[in-house]
Amino acid sequence: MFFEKCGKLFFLKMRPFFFFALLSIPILIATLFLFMQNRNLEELEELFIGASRKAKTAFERKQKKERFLGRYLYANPYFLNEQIESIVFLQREKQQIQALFSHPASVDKDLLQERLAFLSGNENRFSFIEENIRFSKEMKETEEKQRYPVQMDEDDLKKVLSIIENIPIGLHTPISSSPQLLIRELRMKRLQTPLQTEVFEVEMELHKREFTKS
Amino acid sequence: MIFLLVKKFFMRLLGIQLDGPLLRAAAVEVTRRHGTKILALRTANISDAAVVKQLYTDSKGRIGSGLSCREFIIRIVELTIKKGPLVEQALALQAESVHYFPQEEVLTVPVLQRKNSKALLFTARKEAIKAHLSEFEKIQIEPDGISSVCSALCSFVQWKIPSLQSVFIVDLGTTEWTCVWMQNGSPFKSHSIPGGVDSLLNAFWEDRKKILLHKEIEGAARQVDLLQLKAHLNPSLTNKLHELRQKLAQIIHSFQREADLQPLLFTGRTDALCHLSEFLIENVRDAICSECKGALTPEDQKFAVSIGLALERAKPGSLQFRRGEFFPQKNWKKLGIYSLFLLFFSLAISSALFIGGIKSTGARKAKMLQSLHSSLEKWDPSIKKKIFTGTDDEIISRWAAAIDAHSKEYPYIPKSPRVAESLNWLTAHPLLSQFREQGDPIHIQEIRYQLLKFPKIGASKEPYQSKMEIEFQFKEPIHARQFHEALLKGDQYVDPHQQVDWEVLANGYKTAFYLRNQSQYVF
Repeated sequence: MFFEKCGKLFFLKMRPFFFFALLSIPILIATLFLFMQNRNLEELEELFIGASRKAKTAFERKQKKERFLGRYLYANPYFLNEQIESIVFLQREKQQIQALFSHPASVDKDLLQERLAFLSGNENRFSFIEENIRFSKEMKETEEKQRYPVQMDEDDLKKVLSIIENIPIGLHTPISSSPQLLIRELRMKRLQTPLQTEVFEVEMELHKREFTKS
Repeated sequence: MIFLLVKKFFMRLLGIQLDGPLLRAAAVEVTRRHGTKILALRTANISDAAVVKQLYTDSKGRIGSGLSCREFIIRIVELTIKKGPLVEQALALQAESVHYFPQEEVLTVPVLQRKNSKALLFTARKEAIKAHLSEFEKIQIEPDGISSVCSALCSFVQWKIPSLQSVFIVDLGTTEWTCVWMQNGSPFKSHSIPGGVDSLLNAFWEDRKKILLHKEIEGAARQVDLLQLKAHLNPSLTNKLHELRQKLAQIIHSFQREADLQPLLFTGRTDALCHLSEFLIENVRDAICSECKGALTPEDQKFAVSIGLALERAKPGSLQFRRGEFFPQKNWKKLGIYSLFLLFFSLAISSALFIGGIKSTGARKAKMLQSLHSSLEKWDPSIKKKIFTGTDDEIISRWAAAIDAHSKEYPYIPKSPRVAESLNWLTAHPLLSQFREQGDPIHIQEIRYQLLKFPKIGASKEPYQSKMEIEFQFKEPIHARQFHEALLKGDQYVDPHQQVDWEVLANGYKTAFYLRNQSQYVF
């Protein structure tokens, strides 16, 4: 009786077309579902393959960034004052002048006196003024401008560049508490001192970045 | 679906003809490869229920029966619409005009003949169909299809003698004779003559009542040669024979008036009396072109209707009176079972697809995650905890986002050459070293290094660009020129694609050039 009712329902009360349509609905839905799922999976696989391809480079970049930030994150905020502006230049020349000055045969002692005073005083030391201080969530940027040029010899230059540019040069090594310092401009002129020695007159502008932990 | 396919390639059919007190059955097998094959031909007495049931149960195929020609009328209608669902509607409209019975008392079945753009409308009274079914019910048989005797004869002739497309067929049945004019393989006109062979045998018994028992009549009748029949010895038989021959001649002549001369084919009990067909043909010789004698075996002739009825069931679009209210209940049950099976099958396939799809997707995702796991283990175990939470899709998306976040280099790691590097390059320059060895070292008076562009707050995408200016002297001007050429050519530090300025001063030279960016350095 039940089967008869079913038969009549599917083939008498409704057209056979509708019955076959009814039959195909679950298959169509399943096929559509599979199609959609496959498309999503293909997209995901594409994403995965693309990401896998870039993974090594991205990881290296991430590591580089972490290393970079790790290096500069805890920089000394008074680094310029404490480590750069405190450098005394031309120490060898100063010793030579002092030796000459005490020598009984030396002439033109006024000139030596004047040079010694220049080398011993604050006139030949770095002095920076801060300009254009900018802040972001990530860091603080400051432009540091040298007030006046200073004189230095080759060894002094190596030392300064080693500290500012965070690079070992000869015997000079960088200081780990430095902020990131970029030399925006450097002018270096060769000068002949009154004592006929050659020195460099250096004037520079720095760009200081102090990274904050975000 | 499997059932339908099997049906398409392999069919067993049982054609049953109720021929007076006799039941003639033909079991036929139709296969695509071997065509039509007669499996069994049986004659049984209707009262012999056991034999009848045996036939019925042995066949295991669809059963076909046929209405006698007196129980329906055939009309031919022209088809103006040849295709589509409108054909049936048009035929239903035309069907109302082909008979005078009340619509609710009759059943009209169209049989389309598309190649002729015609349709045959078979109209039978519902009472006749009911009576036919009840006759079968008495012998516990429910036919799957009810066709007609005339259609069955046409199907039989088409199968047995395919070359014969138009013919007059006379079936000598036990209780009635059927005359069919077949045109292009379809019944065009049909008539039945009541009485049949039984009436001849009864007449013969009337003549020999005194010397024969009733059960001996059939055997004795076969001995009677109608071509040498003596009328005074067999008055009843002679009268009956002449009466039937006269009726047959009338029908054949009526066919001939429209059909012109056609061959004549006898089927049925042609051996009931010796030379019966030859006797009957005498009056219609002028209406036929030939007699298809010898084309059929006596067995074929006897079972022509039942074989034809079986063949009718195998033919798509054949006549079927079991429709609407006469549709067999057992077929509804079968249809119900098949439809539920198909529904279940459809659901099973869908579920299998669904589950298979989910499993396959899951396996592919698991493979990706496994690969990701080992990749992170190798490269960056620190982010594993952050990434491996949520669904598989979320994990992969999160990982891809993490990769994307580091797809570009961190802009604040400098790329431009540092001052120390630039000075070192200048000191170690091969050309300048060569000049130094030749006693003409470069005498640098002034150096200017400029970092023209670099990323800063508010302009993080700004590229690094640095420039160097040098004021210098050479003893030999050619060395200055060569140095200029070297700068124009470019090297690891000098960018030849950018402008290289060159100026000759009063006491030396001045050059300015852009420095080539280096790979990022951290320390």
